[in-house]
Formats: sequence, C-alpha cells, structure tokens
Amino acid sequence: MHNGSVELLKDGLRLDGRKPDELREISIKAGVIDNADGSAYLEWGNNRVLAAVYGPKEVIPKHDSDPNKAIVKALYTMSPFSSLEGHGRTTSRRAVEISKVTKEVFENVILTNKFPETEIDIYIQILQADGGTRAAGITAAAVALANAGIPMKDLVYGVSAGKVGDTVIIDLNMLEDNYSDADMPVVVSPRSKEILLLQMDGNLTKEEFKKAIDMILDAGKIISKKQREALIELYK
Amino acid sequence: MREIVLPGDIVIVDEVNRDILYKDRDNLYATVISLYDPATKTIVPLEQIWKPRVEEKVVGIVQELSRKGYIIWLHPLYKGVLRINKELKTGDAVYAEIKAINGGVIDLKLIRELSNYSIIKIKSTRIPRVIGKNSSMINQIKELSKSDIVVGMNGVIAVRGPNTEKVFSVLRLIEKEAHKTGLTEKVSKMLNE
Repeated sequence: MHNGSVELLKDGLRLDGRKPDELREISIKAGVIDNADGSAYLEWGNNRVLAAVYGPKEVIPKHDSDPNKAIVKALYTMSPFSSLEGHGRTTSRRAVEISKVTKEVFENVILTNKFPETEIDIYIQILQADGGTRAAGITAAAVALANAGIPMKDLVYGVSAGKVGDTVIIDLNMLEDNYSDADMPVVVSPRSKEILLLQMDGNLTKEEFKKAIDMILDAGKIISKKQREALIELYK
Repeated sequence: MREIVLPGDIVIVDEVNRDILYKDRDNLYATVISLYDPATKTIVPLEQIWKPRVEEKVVGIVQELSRKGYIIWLHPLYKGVLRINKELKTGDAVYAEIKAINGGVIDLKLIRELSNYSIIKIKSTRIPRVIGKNSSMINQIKELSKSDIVVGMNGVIAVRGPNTEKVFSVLRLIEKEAHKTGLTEKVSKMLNE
C-alpha cells in the first residue's frame, strides 16, 4: 500500500515487521525518581518516557484551590533532543493541548474528593519520541500515580489505533503516524472499559472504528499487564 | 495467601476503609496498592497519603510565629499549631502529639524540642517497619549507631549522633525494602560496617 511517498504495509506486514494488531515492545519501571512521590520510566518501542507525580500538596496560587476536591495539574513536555522535528524546542500548542487532555483523563480516575484544597502534579517528560507519546505518557503517569499512593478508581492505559488503506493497525510509530490515513489515540479504564480520551486525525468508517476499539481493548490486556508487573516488582 | 492488589482490583472485605476502597455499584475496589488477604477478608495499604489522627506523635519543623501560636510544618498537606509560652527557633524540629483536629487546624502538644537534629522524610506507610515489633528495629538502630532517633508518624524522623549519614542510608533502605524479610540482619550489617 502506497501512501504519499512511504510504503507502510507490505505483504501484510508493517515497516518494522509488525502485524497490524501487534504492539511494540513495552517495558516499565516504577519508582525511579527518589525525589518524587511517585514515578515511572517507560520504554515503548523507541519511545522513552519519564513520569513523575507530586502531591497532594498545598495549592499554589491559593485562589486556584477547590474546597471540594483536589485539582490535578499535568505538564507534558518533549525534551529538545527527543525527536527529529522541531517538537520540544519551544513551548508548543501541541504540548499545551496534550497537557490539558492528560489532566482531564486523570481528573476522572483520581478520587479527588478525598483531598479538598490540594493539588496533584503530574509531569510527563518525553526523552525520545517515536509516535504515540501521549498514550505512552499517560500509561507511564498512571503507574507513577499508583506508586505515589494517590487513590484511583483504576489503572488507565493509552494506545493509538489507525488505518493504512483498508487495514486497521494498532500502536502507530512516527512514520505511520505521519503518513497513515487515520490516527486515533485512546485512553481506557480497563475495569469499566470506559473511554477517557479519544482523539482522531483522518477518518474511519463505522466498522473500522469498531475494529479499532476492539483491537485497543485487546492490546490493553498486554499494556495493563506490563503496568501491573512494574508496580508489583517493587514489592518482591 | 496474601496478594498485592492495585487500583481497580475487586476486593471483598469485612471492614470497609473508605480511605483506600472505592464502591461502584455493588462491588468494592482497591484504590491504592495494598496487601489483600481473601481468606481473612482484610486489606492493608502499602502506599497511602498520611492523614493526621488524634494522639499520634509527630515530628514537625517550626515555621513561623503567628497570632495563633507557632506554625509547625508536618507534611506537604498539613501544618500544626503549637501554643506555648516558650521561645522556639524557626527551622528547629519539635516532637509533639496531636491533641485535636478542628476543621483544618491541627492542635499540637509539645513533647520536647529537638535542637541540632538532622531531619529525614520517608513515606509514612514505612514508619511501622522503622519502629519494628515492640520497637525492635528502632532500638537496634539507636544502639548500633549510638544516635538519638525520634520517629514521627507523619514520616519525619529526627536524628542526632555521630553517624547521621549512616542512619539516613539505613532509613532509606527500610523505606525501599520495608516489605522484604531479613531486613533486620541487613540493617545491623550496614551499621556494623
């Protein structure tokens, strides 16, 4: 299948040799930063992500505080050296947007009502980027939050699905992200199967969308397992 | 057999601790990493944010003198108030008991001042392990390091003695490996080196 100038699918296999429904290698380590309340380091294919969590703590500035619940702040940053494109070398519209959607994901899973008038800070630092960093960042941040002992309804994960020609694929890398016909990052709460984030570039038919969601839920079992292993490893 | 449960895992317990459990429809779910025993239906959190309780003994740091009394830092979330007719130096540590919690105000009762102590902060869930059964662990550390160590339930520990650095590394080790067996031997080996 030709798309632009890049051939993304050849004999049913993708550029990096993966099948359409195959995830890249994932490894997660929890508790990597001593000075954070909770942290995680994640390698997802060529993505390298650090997530750190601080709080609950005093709200600064004070007038931002909410007497009924904790406020969640998220900051997604790409390191200046993380990618070939200009990402991360200046503050971008993209980083502000991803920080916002990350904050909204975690506002839905953290039991914020337990800590009124406080704030919880989530920092996601992309050290190396190869497509799907927002999903990778949220997956790492979920582990960091659990590591910090912040009560949550669930351990969420994120992954993207997309389309090359008529083939639905999962976990797009940078090239696929740039040249595919659709790219759809999704964040899921595995316990309730609630979708906490869904964004899309390009378009999918109804059937393709359904297939993409099914693939995401299937892949989620592997991602969740990696998150669990990382946390349980700390107590072995 | 005790197992580790993570946020979102279903549990069945006799006593519902709302601080660490979440109810959705008819089921209860863990919200923090915990040790769960299905046979006895009990759950113990392994990671939890400290919450002050009356009669708990804490180590705090004198922050400033206000009209209410001395403001004592206890935790990133909590400050206590100490009303005494004595002069305290800002930055000094104090050992105090929580007398009452009224709204957001934590009233403290001074047990003793801790001047010239070095301060370390560890996770409050690890404090029971630092103290040990019948204070066995803390007594061992005190004896071997020839230090005076004051442990606050808020996770703040004050140390004074000739081997402060060594004691700090021991406390950090306990924080990291609190769930492991053979910690007592490891600690004594570290302090005897």
